Amino acid sequence: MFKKRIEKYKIQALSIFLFLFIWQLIAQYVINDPLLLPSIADIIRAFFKLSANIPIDIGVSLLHLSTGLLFALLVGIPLGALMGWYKNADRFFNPLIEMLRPIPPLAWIPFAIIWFGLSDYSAGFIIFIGALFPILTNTYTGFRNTSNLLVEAAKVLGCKKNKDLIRHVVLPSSFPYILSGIRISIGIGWMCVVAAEMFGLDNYGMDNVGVGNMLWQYYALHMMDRVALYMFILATIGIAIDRILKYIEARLLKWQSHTNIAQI
Amino acid sequence: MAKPYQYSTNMIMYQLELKNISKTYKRNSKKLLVLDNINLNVKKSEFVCILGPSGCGKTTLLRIIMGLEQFSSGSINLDGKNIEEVESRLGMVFQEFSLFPWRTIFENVTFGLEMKGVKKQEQTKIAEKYLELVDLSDFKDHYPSELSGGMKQRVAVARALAVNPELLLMDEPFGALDAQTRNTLQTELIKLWGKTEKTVIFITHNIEEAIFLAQRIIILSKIPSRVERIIENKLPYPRDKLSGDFNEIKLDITRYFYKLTK
Repeated sequence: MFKKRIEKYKIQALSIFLFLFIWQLIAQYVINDPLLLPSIADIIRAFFKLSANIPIDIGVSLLHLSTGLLFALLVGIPLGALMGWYKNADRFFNPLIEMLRPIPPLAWIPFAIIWFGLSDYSAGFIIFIGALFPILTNTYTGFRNTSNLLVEAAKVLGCKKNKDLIRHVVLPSSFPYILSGIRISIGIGWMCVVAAEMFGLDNYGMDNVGVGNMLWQYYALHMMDRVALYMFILATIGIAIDRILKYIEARLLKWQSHTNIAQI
Repeated sequence: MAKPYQYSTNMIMYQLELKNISKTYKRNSKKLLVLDNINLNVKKSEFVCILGPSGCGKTTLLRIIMGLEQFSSGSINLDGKNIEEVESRLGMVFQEFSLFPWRTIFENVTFGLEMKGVKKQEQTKIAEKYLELVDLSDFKDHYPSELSGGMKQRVAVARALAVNPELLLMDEPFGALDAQTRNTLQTELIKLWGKTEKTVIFITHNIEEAIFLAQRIIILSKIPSRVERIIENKLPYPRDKLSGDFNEIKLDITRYFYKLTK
């Protein structure tokens, strides 16, 4: 079995290696124009030139992400819970949510600037909009899907008040939904970072930082190797966050029969 | 004028009395009578089986006793007092596996004790006692998903007993298990009943199971359910499913059932 896993990763590594190799060949011998397609070598060079700034860029972008995410969780989880538990709350909020949800987060940028100015808050707001709906609908679904049998089993054992039922039965049974909602929210939030940082921001008092911000800056200078570098950084951080969250999820949900930490 | 001896006859009180319980479901403005005037008296420490064909409203009756469902008319008395909602003095084991999957076996058993506000130390003592009683002490730190169906139902029994209910309601608890596990659990349940002396109301559609377990078998008819027949089962415990007496009763009930469901 272990051998098989190595075998599996061999193919995956080959896939990436081959992709980069063909890219390098095409960039170097076919296109041969760093503006149209920077080569892998160019990107690696750019990485070593900028390596001192990259951690700060990542840090600032993660701060923007956390701001938006924090508010998305603070609004999404209670609201989803309320709608999942009380039929009337569902009826009341559902039309509003259905109306707001189809609006792409990026469409909120003008209002974000008007309301919050060119600040870190407007970036946070865009990320908030992107992250809100997955966590909200997942919490709602988790509450809705709570097994009636478990609720009755709890009642029979003396857990009768709404408050206690939510705390001891509905919340733990919705936990898998909520966790995967958070994971999806973070993923979408991270995608919003580039757009959210595209207009120059305070950046917590620093000039020219943030992954999304730098991507736009270097685009303005037509330094496409650096743009591509920041795209790679976005991908890497995105994957890293997702993996970490999946790992945490598996640890927290070890009671679920199909969650196997070894598989991740 | 009430005379003293009349009081004394009243002293033979039943622990649970169902008087004229009827239940009507309303669906699409049509009324469906499910339970028709059910009368049932259960003595303390008695083991009663309610036997009836599938879909006859046995489960509805049990859920009504537990307070999980409303009844249309009649009354239920527990120790001479009217009960209407979920009553903590009753315990219940469900047909489906109803353990909390996010809690370990041990934490499942302590759930009811936590709700009662029992001290941690006391909880541990009680939970260990009942896990011992259902022979699952070795599995206390496992999660329900790691257990077999039979083990899950044993935990459910331990969980119900841990809060020390006066009366245990069991809704076809072994229905989802294979025949062998079922036999084992039936034997264990009788032992457990002997040790704890709890009153048990056990629902089943399995004739053999009812004869093996119960002192009294209440036979319900098809919908609308009424009490068709009450059989006193005086066979000594532990019962032998292969004995002549056992099979005589079995044959009798089977014939009766056949006529009833035809």
